[in-house]
Amino acid sequence: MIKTEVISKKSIFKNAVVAVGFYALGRGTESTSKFNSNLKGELKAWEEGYLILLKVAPSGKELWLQKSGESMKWIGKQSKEADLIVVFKNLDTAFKIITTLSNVHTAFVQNRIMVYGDVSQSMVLIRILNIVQSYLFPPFLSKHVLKRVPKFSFAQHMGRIRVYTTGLLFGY
Amino acid sequence: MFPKYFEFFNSVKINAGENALEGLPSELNRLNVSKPFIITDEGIVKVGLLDIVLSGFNDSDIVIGAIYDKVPPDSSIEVVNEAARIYKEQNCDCIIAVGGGSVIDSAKGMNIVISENTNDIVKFAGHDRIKNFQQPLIVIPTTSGTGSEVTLVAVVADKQKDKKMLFTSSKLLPSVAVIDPRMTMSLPPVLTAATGMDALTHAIEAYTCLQKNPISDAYAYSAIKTVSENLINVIEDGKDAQGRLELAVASTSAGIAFSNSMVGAVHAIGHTVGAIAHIHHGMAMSILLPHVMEYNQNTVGNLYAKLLLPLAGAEVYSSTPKEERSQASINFIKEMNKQINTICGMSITLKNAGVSEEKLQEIANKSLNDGAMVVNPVDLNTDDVMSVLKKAY
Repeated sequence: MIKTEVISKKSIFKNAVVAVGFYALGRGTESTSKFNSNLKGELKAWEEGYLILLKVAPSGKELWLQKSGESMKWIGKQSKEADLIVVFKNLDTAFKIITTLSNVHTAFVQNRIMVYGDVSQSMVLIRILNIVQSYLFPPFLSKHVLKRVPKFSFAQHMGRIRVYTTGLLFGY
Repeated sequence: MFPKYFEFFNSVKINAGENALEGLPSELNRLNVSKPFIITDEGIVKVGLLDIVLSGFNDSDIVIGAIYDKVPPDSSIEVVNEAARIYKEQNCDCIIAVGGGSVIDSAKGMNIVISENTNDIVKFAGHDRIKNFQQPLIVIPTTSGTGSEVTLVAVVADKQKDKKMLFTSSKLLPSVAVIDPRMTMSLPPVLTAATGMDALTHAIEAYTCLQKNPISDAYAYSAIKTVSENLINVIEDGKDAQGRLELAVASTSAGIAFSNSMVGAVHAIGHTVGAIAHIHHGMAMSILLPHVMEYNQNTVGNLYAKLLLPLAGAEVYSSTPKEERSQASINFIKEMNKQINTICGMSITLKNAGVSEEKLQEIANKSLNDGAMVVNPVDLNTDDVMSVLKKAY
């Protein structure tokens, strides 16, 4: 039998997980950037309005972040080109990172992530995302995600509670 | 540990050995090109190396379209654009780069400008942004260190913004690398030492960093063995043609290794030391290598232990207790540095190399933004980099 015009299947489950993961990362970044001094320090490297795009190729799930004042904002899709673009080469890569089955630095060394823009700024972004992930994930999960898991103080534990509540709901 | 997934790619044809340059007309014919653009620097012309390259075209029909010798120590957008303009004006159809890292980066940079038909190379900075296949590029390295003849990386400086742009793409790999020992015979002892230690660092970092894979390991291991066996001899006797060739091939092997498995903290810190304190890249590698290895030792000491065999040889390896081999590898490199210092005076501390202590904090802060930090096996923050710098000082 010869088949033509075969349309590839879409993974509804993985797409949904990545969508939820991007939501959590977007809100988590907004929230963490409002109170974490290390993250605020990293943001000084970027000018006001610096635009970041994380996207999954080829399906196109996107996460847009922008520096606004001393914090980050999760914004909707933009028509202009981002200053820094991080592309997960496929849905599977994004899914594994979001579910802690893999992590950003492993994906990078396996060449499953592409970076468009200034590589030095991507290092700033990696450090920012590490800070955000240390709040989003409890320690038993973040050890799979981060090269070095920080020891949280009482105030940082409170910060984690903030991220899990008002952070994920409102980005505060 | 065998990686769960890796990628390896190297498409460069390597012609290495006696009279390799005489094969140039035949390579051009194979690539179906006939009007090369030669890019080099004034130093290469001055010491007569370009004349040796041109002699490779004797008795052929090849007409050199243009010779551009104005590449400065660091490649820049201005140089790349000017070279590309002349290339197009002269209707050249291939590029021959004769020189070290800066010349080779300039060649790759002008290739991007030509092949993407652009006047804004900045748009292509980053990873895998180059879409069009490049003009045929033949590289004739004149140092035994950078390995740029087999890497998919180019670094071009944006002087207006005072920053270096990194371009990585498999499309940047040259078509041919021509390794002829005549090209490095006139390299002075200090430069031989510095570029040789650069090659050794490439190989050791490629073997021990997170992106390592079994294929790049094979190239790295071979490079480490060959550099260890030949570097001191060639520094002492620059006329050792066989030694020069082996070092050049080791540098190429190390280049293939790190092009596929990246380098780590030695390069991340070393790039920044070079940018801020303006010391030779190879010298910075040599000074920093043992100290970064000591920092990484708790995590990858097993790999450093394996490297004692290619570094020091079978007798030393077998007579060293297993638990001492990692430190023995580090000590071997420290001893090598001391030997090199005795023979040719190359500095073995940052202080001796002219780095002022006030600059160390700035170096520590900025080195975290070097992409190579991602693949170092151990995470470093500013304090960690400072501790390495202080030990190297």
